[in-house]
Amino acid sequence: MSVLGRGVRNAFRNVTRTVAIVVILGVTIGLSFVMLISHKAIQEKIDATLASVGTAVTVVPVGSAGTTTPRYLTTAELGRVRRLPHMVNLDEALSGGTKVDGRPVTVVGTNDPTDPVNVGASTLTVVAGKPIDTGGDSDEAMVSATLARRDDLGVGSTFRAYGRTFTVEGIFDSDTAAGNNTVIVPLGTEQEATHRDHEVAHATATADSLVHLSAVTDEITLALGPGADVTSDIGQADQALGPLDSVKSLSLYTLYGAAGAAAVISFLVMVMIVRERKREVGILKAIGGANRPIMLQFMAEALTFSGLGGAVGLVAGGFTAGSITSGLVGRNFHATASAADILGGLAAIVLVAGFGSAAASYLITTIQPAEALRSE
Amino acid sequence: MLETKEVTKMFGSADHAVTAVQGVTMNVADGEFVTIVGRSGSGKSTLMSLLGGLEPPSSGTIYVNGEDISSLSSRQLDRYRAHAVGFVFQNYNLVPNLTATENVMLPMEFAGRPKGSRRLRAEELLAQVELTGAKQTRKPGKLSGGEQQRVAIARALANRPKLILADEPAGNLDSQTAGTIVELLRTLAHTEDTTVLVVTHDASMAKTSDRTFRLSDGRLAEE
Repeated sequence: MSVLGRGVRNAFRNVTRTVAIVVILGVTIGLSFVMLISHKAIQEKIDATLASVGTAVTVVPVGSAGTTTPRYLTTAELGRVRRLPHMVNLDEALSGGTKVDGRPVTVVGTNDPTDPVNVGASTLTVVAGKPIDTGGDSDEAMVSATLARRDDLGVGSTFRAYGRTFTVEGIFDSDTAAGNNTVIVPLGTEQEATHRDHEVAHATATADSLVHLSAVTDEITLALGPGADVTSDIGQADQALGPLDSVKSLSLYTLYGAAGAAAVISFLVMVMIVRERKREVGILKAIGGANRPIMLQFMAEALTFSGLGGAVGLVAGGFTAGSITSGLVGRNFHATASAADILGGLAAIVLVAGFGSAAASYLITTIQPAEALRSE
Repeated sequence: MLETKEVTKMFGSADHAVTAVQGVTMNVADGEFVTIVGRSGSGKSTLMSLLGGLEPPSSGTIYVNGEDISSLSSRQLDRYRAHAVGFVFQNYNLVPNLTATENVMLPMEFAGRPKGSRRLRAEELLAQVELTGAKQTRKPGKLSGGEQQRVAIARALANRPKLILADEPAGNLDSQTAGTIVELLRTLAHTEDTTVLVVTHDASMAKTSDRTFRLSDGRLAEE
């Protein structure tokens, strides 16, 4: 019988004890596995939620909504915002109303003609021509496909508004009726046409990443003072993700705790076994056994305990991970083991066995055969 | 082939040192069957441990087949115990969850003997000590004391050592079985040309040996 075979067989010398060790290791490794799966599933949910948030910050003057005398931000104020760190874009817009071919339309002046927020939509696609150049106060315009059809306009066509002649540079389509009743012109053009030089009705700032979104929101609030309402989706997301963050932390600490407990249990079990078999180790050394094969034998025993405990834990954990995670989160939550999770579980088993083996190995090297044989 | 010069073994620290073996000098030739008698606590088992390389002497030298084992490293002592010496203990000291055959195969594995020949050699040795059939596949707990000691003797012979050290080999056996075991050891010494050193407190066993030494308070004298 090989050294490893003896180690595996030794693991079953006392069946009652083996069952107890396997159950205890199974519970701890299983709990680690469940927490690993939970933590990962919650992290994925948090990432998905944050990804849907976007990095936009909306800035509007306080009290501008629903009043007959709307207030405006100034380009000077927004200049301070533009210089803040972690800002990648600042889209300013001013909207007004006029008639095209005798029919009312909304005109939006902006320095970002492809931002759907400016036309009250969530998507904006240029379907013909190109976006307008927003650098100055030119008479370029983008019209919605709906208006283009209604007024028989195409790229290169002209139309009259604000007493000026605009040339259609592009035709766009959006996902709202209001958006599809809009003409987009350069911000400077709209300011000049409506006699609101240097005034902006609303602005959309874009942070360079989700990580900096909160900080950018706070910085803009500070820069504009109480005269502006500054909002982003991060606050709402934080509220939704708060409980998930708590469960994520709990699962992480429990994962560490359970894996640590498994390692400590394995360590103590092997210490107990080697101490109990000190005389036997002495005999093996007396008949020519070197430290290495004896250590290998005990390592195989530790690996058998951890392997069996791990198998029980992985199977039980795999089946219960979903319901335990749902229980922790407080609602139905999808959490299943992936191949990476199983690999992580197997790594934990090897780690647990390693701890047990380390204890056994160290003790074996300290056992003197003569001393062990005298201790009857 | 076995020669000791002024071998001393002390235990404990300088202030509370206990001398178990003191200035032991002896020579034993190949194939001799020698007994060392002495009362309990006289240092017999300690002397066996020293000769078997289980622990180093505090001073003095031990030569086995011309090699000074008192200066060997831990790894060299492992090899010495695996190849050159066989132990027979009073309490048999078999590994409880291995069968008789597997117990005998164990030293051969440690000595690096090819796997295929181990079982055959173990079965031959067990047959030589008259343990045959189903008894070879029994674990020690299912064998009598005499049978366990036969397994221990077969295990001691596994790697054809030139020296067998038997510490009270009949101490736990009835007189009839004890006589059989001692006779078995003496026969092996002569047929296998193996030096056998038996430690005992039984003076009657000493009468059957080629030479007898007496150990008293750690000091050795030939009778």
